[in-house]
Amino acid sequence: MPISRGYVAKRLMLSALVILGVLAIAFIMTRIIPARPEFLWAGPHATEEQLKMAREKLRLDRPIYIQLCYYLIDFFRGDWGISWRTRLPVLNDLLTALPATLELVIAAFLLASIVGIPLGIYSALNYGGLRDQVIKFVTVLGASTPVFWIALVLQTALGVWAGILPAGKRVDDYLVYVTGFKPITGFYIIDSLIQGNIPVFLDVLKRLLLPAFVLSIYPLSLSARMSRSLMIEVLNENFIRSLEVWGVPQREILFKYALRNAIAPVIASLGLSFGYTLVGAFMVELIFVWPGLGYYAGMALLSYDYPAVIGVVVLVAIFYSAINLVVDLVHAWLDPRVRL
Amino acid sequence: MSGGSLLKVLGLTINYYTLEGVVKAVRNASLCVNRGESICIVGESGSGKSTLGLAISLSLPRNAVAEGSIIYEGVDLLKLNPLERQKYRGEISMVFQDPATTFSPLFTIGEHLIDILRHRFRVSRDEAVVRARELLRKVQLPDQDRVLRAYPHELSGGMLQRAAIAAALATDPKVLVADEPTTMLDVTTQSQILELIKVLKRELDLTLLFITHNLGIASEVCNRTAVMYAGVIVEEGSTDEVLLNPLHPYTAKLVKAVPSLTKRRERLSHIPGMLPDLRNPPAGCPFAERCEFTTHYFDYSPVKHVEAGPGRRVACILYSGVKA
Repeated sequence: MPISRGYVAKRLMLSALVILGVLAIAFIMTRIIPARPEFLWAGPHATEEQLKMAREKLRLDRPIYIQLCYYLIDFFRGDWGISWRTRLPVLNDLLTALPATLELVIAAFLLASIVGIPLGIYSALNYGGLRDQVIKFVTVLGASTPVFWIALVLQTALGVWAGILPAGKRVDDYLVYVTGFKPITGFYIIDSLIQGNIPVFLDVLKRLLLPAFVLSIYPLSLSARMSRSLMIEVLNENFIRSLEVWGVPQREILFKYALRNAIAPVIASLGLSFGYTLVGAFMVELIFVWPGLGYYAGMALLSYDYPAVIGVVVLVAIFYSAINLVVDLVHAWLDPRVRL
Repeated sequence: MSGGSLLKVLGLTINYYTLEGVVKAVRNASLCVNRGESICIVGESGSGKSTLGLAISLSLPRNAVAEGSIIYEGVDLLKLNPLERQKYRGEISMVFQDPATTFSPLFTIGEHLIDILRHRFRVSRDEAVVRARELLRKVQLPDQDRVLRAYPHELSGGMLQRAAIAAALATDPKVLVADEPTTMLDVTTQSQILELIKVLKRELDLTLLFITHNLGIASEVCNRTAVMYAGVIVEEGSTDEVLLNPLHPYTAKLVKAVPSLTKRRERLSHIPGMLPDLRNPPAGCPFAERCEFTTHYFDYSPVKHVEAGPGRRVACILYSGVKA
């Protein structure tokens, strides 16, 4: 693996800069929106005196750059502010909401790569045939349909009309109460398995299925389309023909030599679609009442809860940088020509 | 050295089915290759020489359809089912033009060699590694262990072509088809690779089918030469005779077009006109349009091959009167 020792350190430093920039922009943007957050903090029946106190407490009476300095100092001390809505530390809120989102996004990405890539490869191997045409059509549809629309349609069709899958929430509260299920890591799939709680596990799985599928539609279509076109391209490469002449069997050429050439770039692009998927996750969470970051961010936005909004934005930035680093490392590991 | 024909191509016609139409890449080609000889197929790009090589080494692309027969040791290779064909793959091995794209960029040279050896001889990985090292030594690559561990982009063109020759020889072939193996290399490397192929041919008692557009290389490597033009073998004979005493007007023009180091000419001679469109090739002589001997009352019926001496054939109307 040609990854130089300083590379990861350099990337981490660059990521830190990016995150700092995102933080500053998010902070300034929330402050220049013409809203009066002190009303929210002080409550609906606050007196002029109370509003003034709220402004002082929230440092809204100081210039923006002073506010930003205060925020940064607190931020690095691990104090991301108090949510104006929940009155709890933002960091606590975020860490509670994060596993729910991660569970959803990871499930979606697993689905996207486990289904999407083989689908694309299968399509490429049937290039020009009826099956290829059908897959091509479906994936174009999948890549171009808005997530929230599919979410609403599937929720209504499968959850409400057909009643096959639950239409929302991570787990049935009643089941939690009856079986005494306790979240440990916040990943309910893992938690229920650790506790050997099969009824909750099945319920969690069933509830995860629909939102994860909806969320996976875009990355799934993307990876299917990319692996299809890359595989078609790779199959026309000269080395495929030379291996054939030299007597290497077809299946080994396809599933060893061609496949790796085709999927290395797919994995790279899946990483890049992570950002889009997180945004998708926010909408899917709002629709499926999923208590994750998106739901939290949505609620925060609707109630001018600035510290919470900034916290979500920064957390997403951190994840996005981390994923991109991992993707680049994986790409370098798969393709020896990539030098990092 | 010699001993009867090993490979016989009879009336081979190869068509590519493309979106732009059917390209008739090779038309009614016949060629007899004797055991242990080296034969050159000479022609310009698009003359069908590479397609002929691919057909012989059983690796035509999927959109190509071949008719006629390629008889190797009494078996018609074109009539084999996929399973039987897999058995003959490697019997007739091939070295390709561009060494940079011959290997998969994501796997080491060793991985390629090991997979070839494992499937051809059903040997273990360890045994395959030993044999791979031996092969690399045979193609005169130094530091075999390093080459085995190297990825294609880490080797120079010449080294890669040597590795490709090692891979082609890994199957222990009887026939080696070399499709312009020196075209993409620089001149000094070219001569080294040519020398290596000649040495290996002698050592391993290979039958060599050398495809090139370079008449100089043809004269250096092969004892027999077949000239192809627009999918048709227009002339065939011993290399010396074909080059020194070309019968077909096309061959004559080709020989004249070779730049000389010793003689300085005013202009390099060239052949006016272009290759005919192979989607709709002329029914008669494919070279008629560019030939100086073409007359107004030219006969456009198909040209027959004429025997013009021992092992000498030419497809030209000029000679049809000689011995009909």
